[in-house]
Amino acid sequence: MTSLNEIAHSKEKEKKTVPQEEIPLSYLGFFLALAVIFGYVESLVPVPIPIPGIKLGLPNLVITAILYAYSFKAALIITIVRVFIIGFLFGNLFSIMYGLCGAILSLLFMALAKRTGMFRIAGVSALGGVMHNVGQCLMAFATVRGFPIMWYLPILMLAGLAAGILTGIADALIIPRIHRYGVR
Amino acid sequence: MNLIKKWFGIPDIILIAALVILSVIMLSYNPVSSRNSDSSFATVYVNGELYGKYALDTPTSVNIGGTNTLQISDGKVFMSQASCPDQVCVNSPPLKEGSPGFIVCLPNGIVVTVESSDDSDDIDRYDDIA
Repeated sequence: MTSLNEIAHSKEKEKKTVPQEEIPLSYLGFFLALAVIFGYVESLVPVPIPIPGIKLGLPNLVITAILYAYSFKAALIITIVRVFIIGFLFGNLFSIMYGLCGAILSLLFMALAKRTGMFRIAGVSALGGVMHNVGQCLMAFATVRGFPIMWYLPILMLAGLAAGILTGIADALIIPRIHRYGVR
Repeated sequence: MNLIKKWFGIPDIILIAALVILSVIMLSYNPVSSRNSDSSFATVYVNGELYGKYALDTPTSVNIGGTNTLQISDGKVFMSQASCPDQVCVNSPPLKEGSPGFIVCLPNGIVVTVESSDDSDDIDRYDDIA
């Protein structure tokens, strides 16, 4: 198991010197479909905590994997298109607005954290989970005057942290395995 | 311990600890509502402005801006109806006296919270505004 993790790390170092190959369009479509399905599956799972915004963030599993296996650009494309598809299928204009704000902020911070080279996947994903909810809280704070941000932000940050750690650990297990199937 | 080391380096642990500490500090900024006050009110804000204050001990039904209906019964306050598609505020758990938290309807800009007050003169004044 440790060796799998080392493979992931050595691959990451290797990519910094070699210019990154573009993600094939078919893979882009495949991962987009996966992210959308994860978003749907997530909407079926009831959340025991009655605070809006607490969720596992399964689509983030795909986004983080793309960020590590391919590039920031590929992850950004999938993120934006995913938010619109999930929003139009299961949500509304509000969920698209909040989703975009959270998902893009989350991806930006994950890309920055990954670029520093200090953090492992679980740490990067934990930061992504937190920033996703921070983005949504800031959006709510900006649009609704009197939004109790000091109450929601810390709760949602903790929830995002827990969710991000879990999806990050899953990603640390998944990424070395998908390398074997030609997905870098 | 070995399992943790496999997934987290020291920078990861520091990052996670920093985020936890930051959240706890922010949580501590929330006012602690007192349980032993004489009267509690459901305070309704629409777009940051006070819409009304309603005593928790008198059951009522309040129409807020034609979009939402707030219900007070058994000392609990909850949103019984909302015009928005996501129904987050309707599904929010009821608020009681001394319970922290809010009922928020983001699409309609409504924030409901329970506040304790010993000053009953406030009600009339706020009712005039409402």
